Amino acid sequence: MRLEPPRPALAPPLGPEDHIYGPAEAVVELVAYGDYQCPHCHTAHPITQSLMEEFTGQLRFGWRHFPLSKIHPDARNAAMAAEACGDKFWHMHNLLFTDTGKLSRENLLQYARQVQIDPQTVIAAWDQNRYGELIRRHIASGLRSGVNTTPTFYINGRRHNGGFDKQTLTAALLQAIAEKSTASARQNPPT
Amino acid sequence: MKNTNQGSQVGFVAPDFTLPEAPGKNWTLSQTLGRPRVLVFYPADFSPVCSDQLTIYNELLDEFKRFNALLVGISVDGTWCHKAYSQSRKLEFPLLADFEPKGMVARRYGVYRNDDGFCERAIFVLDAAGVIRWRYVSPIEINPGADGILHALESLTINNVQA
Repeated sequence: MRLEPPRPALAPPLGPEDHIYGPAEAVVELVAYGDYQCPHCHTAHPITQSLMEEFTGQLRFGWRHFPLSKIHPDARNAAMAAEACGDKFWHMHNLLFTDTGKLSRENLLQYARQVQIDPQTVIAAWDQNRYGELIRRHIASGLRSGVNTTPTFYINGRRHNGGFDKQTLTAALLQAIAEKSTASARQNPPT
Repeated sequence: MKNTNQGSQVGFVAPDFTLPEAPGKNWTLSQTLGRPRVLVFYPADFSPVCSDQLTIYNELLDEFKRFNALLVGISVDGTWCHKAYSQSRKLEFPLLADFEPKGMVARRYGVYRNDDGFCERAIFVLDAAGVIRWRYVSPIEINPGADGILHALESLTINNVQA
């Protein structure tokens, strides 16, 4: 008998502390726990970008940090640099995924300049471990939510157990949209 | 076909064993009494799912230390293979070689896959006295992550406080 893997819930759900891209009223929510130095996350990034375009208005995307620091020694610095960019977070996030492996401190400061953030802000964040507690909370929430690799995706609050190729993710998002429509129809039957 | 062994069930004292953790160096379960132990059986060094699974545990060693827990990995690979694998993934916990007689410990824990010749992807959480408090056998292709282990370790802590 083939056992179905469990689909743990995202805990906590997306909230004010999270970086969220897309409309609040979106019917489907995709959340990724990831690591800027992880090659699989680099593979997934253009796929999620493409999905955001295809599901415009229907999809919102959230990102939580899950740096695997022992095998990816630059991932934590990169996560802090992204946080230090404040409202330029998504711009920085995209830059961090443009060039696999180029995440030295100098590279990260260069990216900060590109998004018009004073490099001293990033240096101060590193020196003061300013986002260390936030990253720890992301990792802790990932553990509670059943993160088992990077990237790990959640669709409408449930872990996505399939692959993260575009076809698989598209099918999973469409299914989530259909399930939500069905649930909504049950709650609001036609009169 | 799986082996079954009642002694490897929750509530029983975990079967004691000695396995090599490095060439010329042995690791014995009963010599680690007094702290929770997490035994992680996995199919094979260098396999993709095992690598994801063990990488996550490696990142979480500080979390396990909060519970004073000791984590070890066990597979049927030999010590030299373990050494190469451990170095390649920068693992900071022991990998035990259930190599000869092949899968002897996995069989005693009821998690040897006779048809495949390697272990199930199975986790045992033992309390400080060596009693199995949580046991989970994952579908072989699914990385079970760490949440189950952490819940089990938390339960041990809560039970200790209540006792």
